[in-house]
Amino acid sequence: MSSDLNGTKRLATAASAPGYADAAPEEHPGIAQARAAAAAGPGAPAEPEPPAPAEPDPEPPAPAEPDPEPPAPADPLAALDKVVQRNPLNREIHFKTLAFCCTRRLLPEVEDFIAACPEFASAEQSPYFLLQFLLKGHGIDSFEVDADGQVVTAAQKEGLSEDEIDDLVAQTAYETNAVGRQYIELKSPQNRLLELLGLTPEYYDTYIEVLGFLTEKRSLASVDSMLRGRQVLMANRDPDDRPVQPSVFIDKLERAGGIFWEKGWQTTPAGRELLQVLEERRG
Amino acid sequence: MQTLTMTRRTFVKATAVAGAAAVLATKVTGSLVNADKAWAATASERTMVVHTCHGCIQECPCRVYLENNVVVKIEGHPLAPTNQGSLCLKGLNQMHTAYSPRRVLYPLKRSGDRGAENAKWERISWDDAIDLASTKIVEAIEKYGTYSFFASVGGGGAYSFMQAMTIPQAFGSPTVFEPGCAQCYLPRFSIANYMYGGADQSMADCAVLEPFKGLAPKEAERGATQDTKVLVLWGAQPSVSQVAQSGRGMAELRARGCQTVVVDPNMSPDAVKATVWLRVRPGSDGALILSWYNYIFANNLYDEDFCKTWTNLPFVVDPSTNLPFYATDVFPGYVQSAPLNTPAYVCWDNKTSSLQPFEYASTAVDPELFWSGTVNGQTCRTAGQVYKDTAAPWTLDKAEETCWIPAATIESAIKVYADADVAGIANGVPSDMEQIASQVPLGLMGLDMVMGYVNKPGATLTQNTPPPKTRPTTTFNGFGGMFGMMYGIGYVVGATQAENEARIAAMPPGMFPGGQGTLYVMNQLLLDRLGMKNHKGLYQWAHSHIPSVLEAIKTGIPFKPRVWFDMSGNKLAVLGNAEAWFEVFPEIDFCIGQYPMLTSFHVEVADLVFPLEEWLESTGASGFGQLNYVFPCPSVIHLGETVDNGVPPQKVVNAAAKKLNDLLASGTEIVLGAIGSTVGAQPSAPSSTVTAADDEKQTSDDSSFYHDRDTSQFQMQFPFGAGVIGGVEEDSVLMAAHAKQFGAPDWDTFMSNVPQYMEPFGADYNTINQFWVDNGLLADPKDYWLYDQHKAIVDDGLPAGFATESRKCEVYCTLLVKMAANGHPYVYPRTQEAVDPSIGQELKDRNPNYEFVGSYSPICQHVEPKESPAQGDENYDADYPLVLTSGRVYYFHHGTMRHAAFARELYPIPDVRMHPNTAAKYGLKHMDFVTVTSRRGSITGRVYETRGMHESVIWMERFWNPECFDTSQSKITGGWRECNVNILTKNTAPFNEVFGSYTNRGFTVNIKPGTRPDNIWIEPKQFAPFLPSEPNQYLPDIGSALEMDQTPHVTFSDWDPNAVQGGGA
Repeated sequence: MSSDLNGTKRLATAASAPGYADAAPEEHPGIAQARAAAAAGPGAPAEPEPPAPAEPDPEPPAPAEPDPEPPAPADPLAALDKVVQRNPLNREIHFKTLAFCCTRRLLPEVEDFIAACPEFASAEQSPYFLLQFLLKGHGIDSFEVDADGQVVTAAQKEGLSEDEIDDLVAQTAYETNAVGRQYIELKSPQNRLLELLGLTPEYYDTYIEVLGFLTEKRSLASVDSMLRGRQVLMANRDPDDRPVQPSVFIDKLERAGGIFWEKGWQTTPAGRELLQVLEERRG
Repeated sequence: MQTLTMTRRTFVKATAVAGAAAVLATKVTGSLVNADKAWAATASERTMVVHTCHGCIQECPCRVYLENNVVVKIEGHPLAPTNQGSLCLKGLNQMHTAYSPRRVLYPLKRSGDRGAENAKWERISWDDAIDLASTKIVEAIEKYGTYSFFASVGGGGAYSFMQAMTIPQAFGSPTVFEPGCAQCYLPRFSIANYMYGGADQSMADCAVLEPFKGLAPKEAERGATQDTKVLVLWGAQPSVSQVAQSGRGMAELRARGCQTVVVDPNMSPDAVKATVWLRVRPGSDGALILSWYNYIFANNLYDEDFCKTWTNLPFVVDPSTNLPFYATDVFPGYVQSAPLNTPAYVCWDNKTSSLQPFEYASTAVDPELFWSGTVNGQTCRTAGQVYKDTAAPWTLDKAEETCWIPAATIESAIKVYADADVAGIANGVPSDMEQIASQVPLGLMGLDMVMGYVNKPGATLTQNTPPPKTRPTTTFNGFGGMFGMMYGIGYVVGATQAENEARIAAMPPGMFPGGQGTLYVMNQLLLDRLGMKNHKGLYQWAHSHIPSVLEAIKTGIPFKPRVWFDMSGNKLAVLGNAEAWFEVFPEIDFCIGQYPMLTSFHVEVADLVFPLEEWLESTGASGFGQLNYVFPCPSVIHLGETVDNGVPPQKVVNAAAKKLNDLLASGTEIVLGAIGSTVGAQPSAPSSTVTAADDEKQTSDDSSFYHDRDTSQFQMQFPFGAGVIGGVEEDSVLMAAHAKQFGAPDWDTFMSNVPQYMEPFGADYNTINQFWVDNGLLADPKDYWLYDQHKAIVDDGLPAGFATESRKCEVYCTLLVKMAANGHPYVYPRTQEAVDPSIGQELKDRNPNYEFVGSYSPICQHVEPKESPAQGDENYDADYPLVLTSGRVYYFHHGTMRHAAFARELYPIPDVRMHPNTAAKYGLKHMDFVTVTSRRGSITGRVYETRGMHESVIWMERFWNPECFDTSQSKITGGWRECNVNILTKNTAPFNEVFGSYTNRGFTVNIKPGTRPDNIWIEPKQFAPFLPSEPNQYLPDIGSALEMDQTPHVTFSDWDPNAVQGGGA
């Protein structure tokens, strides 16, 4: 599992993909951008710097709910990956939620964010449940906060009755922890796209072409019509020596975070960013 | 309702007394230990209904007794001609199954995350459940195309076979599989079709009926005789797997002096009582069979007349094609006198000592069975000589060395079989579960044919069909046309090519909804089934190759199946290498299940589960047959909102089809897999006229997989083709049909007049039910037990013969050779690629004389298992020195009934049978926990010492443990890793060449002392949470099933019988 999440290895592999070796710097600009954006916010990435809290916490934050938490897993990245990957309909929402919560967020904010994701239209759990999956997966921490948004500490609750504690605690906040940050960095759409491009060199040009084609929203049939009959489908055949179907490109690019569905297929910002990098390199 | 005190042992020992009373006894904590008998304070009115057990696929007629609408007793029907009043534990356990607290009684939607440890469920309405399932299917089809949907079935408990087979087709998808199929019965079923177009040798699947004729006193009284005097049970264990029916029948047979030979690595009850028991090494059956051929040929024990007249053994084979010469190949210009649908071949004529044309039914020649010589400049042999040469190395001594059976024992078994006037072989399931899935039935059916044990009283290769009036044929379009034209038109073997072309041309326009373009798509869906290129035998049941489906889900190549509708059983208990399947669950977008229980599969991955009826609740539309009887199977109880297994697929197809057709109507194009995008039907659009000639419209590289076709021809409407076969709009449809079938005007009349409608001989056992006789429900023995059909003269003036091209029993199975070359006779009129040239190379590497590389072997071969336990073999690995085989136990069928408390008390954890010397060698003793490890994984069982096992063989049956996700557990698991033999099984190549069967038995393992897994139950008291008196596990608020009131069958107010029509392309 840990080797799966070895981002350095992945980048190195991807960078050797034909046509992208030149374009891929040691660190993808998208990653750098993400780092910068994250560093600028209150919830900075765990690496290379430790996360900075929104406000200095005089004491360790108290757990939000008496929800029994499973013991911390031996391989936290693998455990989080299992949770994120378990249901394809939730997968991209989990990635996005982890990224969104790099800045500490209140529950309603997170719920609204999840509900606004285009992938949420196909999800079968509520935003709250989806968030809880990440909490149980040890990718996000939760904090009880007061009406001013300040973390309620254990010391503050000491000696208070249940009602008084209820009055004190106004909300629950969520923040991606170090494991979650490390995970989404490794699994960023940029990294996933790079990995995809390096996996099957014969598909490289077609992946790029489909990303470009879907900068405008289109149906599966449009993509199918564009690709059907092309020689690229004859590459990487199955054990029965049959060509692949055009839908394979949709599946792979979606999985890599390069396209998304919202009543049609469209290129994601990460996918557009990749196209732009390639365009700049060509230019 | 009375609360009684009765011990559980009363239930087990006095089966006819068991029932809800026994069930209720356990409601009080503490009554699980032995207690004194007690009796109800008051008696209730007791009613009886005739039903048919579904505890296994043999379906024993039974009587079900109710008090206060609760089933209190089940017993075998005394006039059932085979089970004769008996019923096994599986049938009796139905009360613990139907009333189990593990029942799914309402549609359940997953509310937590996937994974057993997170499994939480919410009850939703039927409308919401159907809408959810259909929405997910439609979403996937719109986003990824029709091939994103797939279905599966199998595992026991809910036999939604037809529905699962056809629902992908309704959505325009090719992907469907069943853990059985290539691993269970398909090979035997198909090989019988290929070799002689008749019934196969499977006793478990009710193909073998003849031995049970005349056993019941009532049938003897009606004139049926008992004619089977010698029977070979090859890998069949009727006394274990079908206890009440064929197990009972075997006991009756033996009591009447029938001699038996049992071939089985395990000392089953049938083996113990056999005249000769051959304890064969698992996986070496091919070698043993060839030793029988060798002995029979060498000692002239075969039926020479039958072989010359009714088999293709005298045909001279062209070595360049491995097919028999036609007469015109050797004698250009030869004009045969028989119809062209009955070709003339070539033989060596003993009368003239020359090669001669060999016409069907000709007496002009005396064909030689064993001949070799030169034909057209090539050294050629007769098919008989090819077989003889292949068998020749397999002397009794060599068989002893390979099969681990003393030569003298093998010889005595052959003599019992071959010295009989008539005998028969019943071929069980083990060979289906190994690489030798095609080789063994080829060999065993061929043996009966060589001996002339065909269509004779006492044989197993008999047909309960009247003599044909025309030349017999076999149609190859999936199940021999059982589903009509569901899988296309099919090629008719026994008709000429021209006759087949004329047949397709004459198809009326309405035969395929949407015109013959639909036929084209149907065939494309067959061609696009995963893994078919090399394993074309799967076309017989139109299934995909399971390891290839797994690979496609995992890799997304050549397309990704991603929305899964599974229709029965615990896939994690019954699929080979279960861990490999678990690993691809994260690739599944949405998983729909339907089953009476939640199993490991459901708690791990299902997102939605439809509640199905247990058999006490369900109604079979057409009744179930046992020999010459058909018994009723009416619903006798009903709980919650369960439905017949045909209802959810029908409802989901209805709803999804409407959504898809709305999309099409709005201008959205749907991508139909390999065909391309389609548009909605326009009333004025001309139907396409795709014919066989359109095969030319393939891609430049001659692939049939995708097409430069004008896709505007495909005016798609859903459901595609005929929709769901076996789909049911609601239970009332079945109930009305069932009542009508048995002569009742309506359901209520039917159920309230049991002796009149449900009994073959009335309440007094003597008044024959004339309605049954008149409507084919009760056949006279003389009309049912029929023989020598092949000798009947038919309309061309010739003896009918058999439904093969040669009109003979093809002991040398020419169809397999043709199939490997171009897929004949499947997917007609489309042509297919040949199998890989590497097929069979593995055999060639071991045997330089092997001559069928790049093809399928038409005769039996020995294939040494890839994981061989034979020391000195190149595949032997000292790290895995033991060979594991498996077989059924009395208590369960497939993956069923692990929730039944009393059955689990009797068999809480799987036995690992081994010789005491084996146990001692590994530091084990009887009842110790033992860890069994294969190259795939490790599991736990409990040592069962028996000197019946060879010291290098261990035996273990598949298992799973539903207690592992009982809410009382501190650490929830899915219960499929602890004791599941399918953690060990091998689902990778080499596969059986014809059917792609993988290796569920005959692979190698190691053992060592083990420990009891934390969360499995062993002690009787631990099973209390499974007792019917407990509240429902998933919806505790509804209480226990016993406390629930009977509920009416679910009705669907929106059902319009005319609303759903088959679509087309």
